[in-house]
Amino acid sequence: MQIVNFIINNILTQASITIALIAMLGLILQKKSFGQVISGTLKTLLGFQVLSAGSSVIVQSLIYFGEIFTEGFNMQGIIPSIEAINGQAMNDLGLGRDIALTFLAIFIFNILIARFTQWKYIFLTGQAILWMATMTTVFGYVAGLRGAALILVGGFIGAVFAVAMPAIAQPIIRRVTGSDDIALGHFCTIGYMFEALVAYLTGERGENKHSIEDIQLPKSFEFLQDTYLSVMVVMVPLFVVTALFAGEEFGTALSGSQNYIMYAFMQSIQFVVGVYILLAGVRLLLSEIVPAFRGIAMKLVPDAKPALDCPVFFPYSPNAVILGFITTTIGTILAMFILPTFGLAMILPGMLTNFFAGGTAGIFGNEVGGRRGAIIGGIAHGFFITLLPALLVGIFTQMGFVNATATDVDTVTAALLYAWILSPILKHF
Amino acid sequence: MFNFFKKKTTKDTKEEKLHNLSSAERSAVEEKINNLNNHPEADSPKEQYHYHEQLGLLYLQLDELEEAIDHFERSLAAELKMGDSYKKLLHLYHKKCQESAAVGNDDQIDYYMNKLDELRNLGKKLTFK
Repeated sequence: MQIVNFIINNILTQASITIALIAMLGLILQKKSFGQVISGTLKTLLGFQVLSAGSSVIVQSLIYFGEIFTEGFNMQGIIPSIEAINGQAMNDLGLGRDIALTFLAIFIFNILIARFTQWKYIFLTGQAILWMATMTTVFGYVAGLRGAALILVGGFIGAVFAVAMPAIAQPIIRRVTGSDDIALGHFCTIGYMFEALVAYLTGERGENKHSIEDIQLPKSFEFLQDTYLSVMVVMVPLFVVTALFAGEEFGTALSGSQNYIMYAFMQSIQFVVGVYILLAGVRLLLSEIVPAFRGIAMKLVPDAKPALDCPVFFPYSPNAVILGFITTTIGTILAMFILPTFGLAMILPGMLTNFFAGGTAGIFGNEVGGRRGAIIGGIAHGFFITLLPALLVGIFTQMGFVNATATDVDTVTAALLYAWILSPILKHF
Repeated sequence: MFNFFKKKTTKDTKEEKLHNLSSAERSAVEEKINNLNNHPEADSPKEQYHYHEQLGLLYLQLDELEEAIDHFERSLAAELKMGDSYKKLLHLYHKKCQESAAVGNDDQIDYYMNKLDELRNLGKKLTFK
């Protein structure tokens, strides 16, 4: 009995062990060799520890940024980073084990829904499922769910999103690609449909509809291909300018003997380093789990439509991607200044989301409403994807998250479902 | 508004028709392949791209998927360009995944899934071409 208690209390409570065991299960089900099972399990364990290390680096940098932003602008400045939310939830809030199990539950429910209903979508973007598992776990926890209920409800809601989002995007994806066998698997789909709706209402129609692909756009945004460079391009000026507003006296109190602007610069680089380490950890973590489970999914759902990550669709409409990035960025900047006047936190623009979500939204806007639709829809999309995370800031702050909010709007919508619908219902019981 | 209930495109039907070739049509396609194979491969990346893309499309008509994939991949290796090679590869990788799943071949599923992952990275590069 002592041994069982030891295993339950000291081993199974460790998130890294739980997630490594999930990987082991997937590898065993795939009938991999003993060596492959061991190496895959250990790599997953290692991936979780790398993710934790990245999270610590990000949090340190965010604490510094929070202090100088409050001093400089007398308000809370929030960095939209789903990576930071995931890292903090996994480590600092002790929800790592529940997130890992919810992640597995989303996979299983997704397969079950695809197997037994007419919606044959299998969501294959592992990283996005991890972000969804993070949000359903965090907000399920806030709603009062614990243990198996927390995991099963999170898994089911996450899986419904994993099937529903590709399904609602498919009519437009079908028009873009000209076929029906591949779907979009990116948890920003509600934003894409919002842009499509605005583009439909305000855009060009019929003979007056002109695609953005008919004109030549500058290709100077090539740097955006590099995830870390694009984060750096925003973070460096953000930290340095904020440090200037906070002033030398305050800045030096934090930087010690180092020049306060140089310190701010190095802190911004630290943030990028944190994202780099965290995402390297996520890749290592998912590199064994995702192939195992997608193999199982493809076998159990023979006529599955794989829902793939958004860059697969970029070449179908490259100008719309660039236009979507520009217009979404304009929308996020407008929202950054407008939302605080309504008592909401100031959400700083997130370059990664603006590129990937903005670019894909641009394809939707252009397809539905041509150039004009893509421009107006893109700005509205930028505003929309800033507004939704702003609504979550209060809950995140209450839970102890440091100066960060979630990004991908489908995960934010799932969180709002918990906060606005599930939580009030549960409070009656 | 977005044709939610539209199930199949005309293109799908056209592709199905292409794969049911009569023996005369099949011979004609094979002859075109022979003609292309008898020509030396061009030097410039642009010509190499078209050469392999054409071969890929012809093999696709014959339903020789592995050959088609090989030529589409070689065409994209010669020149990174958005066109039939990229579009067809996206669907062919998926088709091969389904075929592998049907016979329970995990390694092949993994192989073609990884190929789909590679298209994700290629997609980003192609956007800025």
